[in-house]
Amino acid sequence: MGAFEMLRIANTSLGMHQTWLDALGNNIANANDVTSTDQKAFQAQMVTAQARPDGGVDVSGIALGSAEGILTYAPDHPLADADGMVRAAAVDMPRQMSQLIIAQRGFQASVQTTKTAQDVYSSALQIGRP
Amino acid sequence: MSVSGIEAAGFTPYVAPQVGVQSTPSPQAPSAPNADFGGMVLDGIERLEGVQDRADGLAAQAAAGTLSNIHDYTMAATEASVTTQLTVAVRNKAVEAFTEIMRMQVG
Amino acid sequence: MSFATDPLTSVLHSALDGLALRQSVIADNIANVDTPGFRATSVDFESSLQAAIADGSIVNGRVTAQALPTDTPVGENGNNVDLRKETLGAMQSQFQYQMVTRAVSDHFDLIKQVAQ
Repeated sequence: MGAFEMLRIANTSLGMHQTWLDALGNNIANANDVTSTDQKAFQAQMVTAQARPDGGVDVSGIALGSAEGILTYAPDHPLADADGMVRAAAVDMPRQMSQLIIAQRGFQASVQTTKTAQDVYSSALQIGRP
Repeated sequence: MSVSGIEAAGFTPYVAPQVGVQSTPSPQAPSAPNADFGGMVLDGIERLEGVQDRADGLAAQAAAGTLSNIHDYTMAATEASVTTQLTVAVRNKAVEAFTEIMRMQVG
Repeated sequence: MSFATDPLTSVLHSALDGLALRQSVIADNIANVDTPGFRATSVDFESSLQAAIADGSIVNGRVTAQALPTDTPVGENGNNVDLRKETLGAMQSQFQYQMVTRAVSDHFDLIKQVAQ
């Protein structure tokens, strides 16, 4: 209903930001992941957003980071190969953390919109009531 | 808002504050004004039907999920309620006046 | 048959329409605060409404509002949403909306009293 646009738009934003937060949280949790060289490294997820033509925002895609990871010399690691190499996850921690803060702020901003919407709809419903 | 017919029943009509309009809105409906009291009451009833229909239409939109703004409905509903009250007041006054006159003739 | 609404109701209804559109636009700007390349829009209904009041055209019915692009500076990813400005705008328009709905109720209340 056109009458509840504010709420609908805020909901699309909550959905997108939630997906983004989940991806960032997952990246951070696996940042220290190590795999053997015959497997893919942990690939960070990068969420991309695009504006909806009817208002609001959608997740346009989730791109995966490098499967090669960072080849690291760690001969004592249980997963090390014959040359003593392992794959470390190519996760840029500082960037993930700053993105996390941005994503949280974006999420909260749309939560505030839902509260504003409730107040506005209540006012509209009170017209003519004593 | 000017309500047709109330002046004839002895009421001072409530007129909305002038908002830059050059001419005072006349008590008669913009189309084919009715000069006699009975006609003015009928104009009022016609206006009431229009206002009620509009409110009903918007209520249906609200139910169907096609309403553009909540205030569209609540304003129309309030306007319909107020117009109904005014029309009923005019009708009651008209009946009262008529009864008064009939009593005079008999007595 | 015409059931023309009184001018004040048209003014108030136009204001509510304008404020509702403004709130949707603010919600959209806020939703896209992190979208690369997004350009914020804003709604100004006050100017056209004041003009309609001044020249009397408000008696013909409500004034419609429009969303137009803003001139806020663009950030490095092409986004120009100013979250602080939008948040303040949301708060202000919410109170404005409450004020105008109150004005509508008061206006109809006065008319109802005539019928007492």
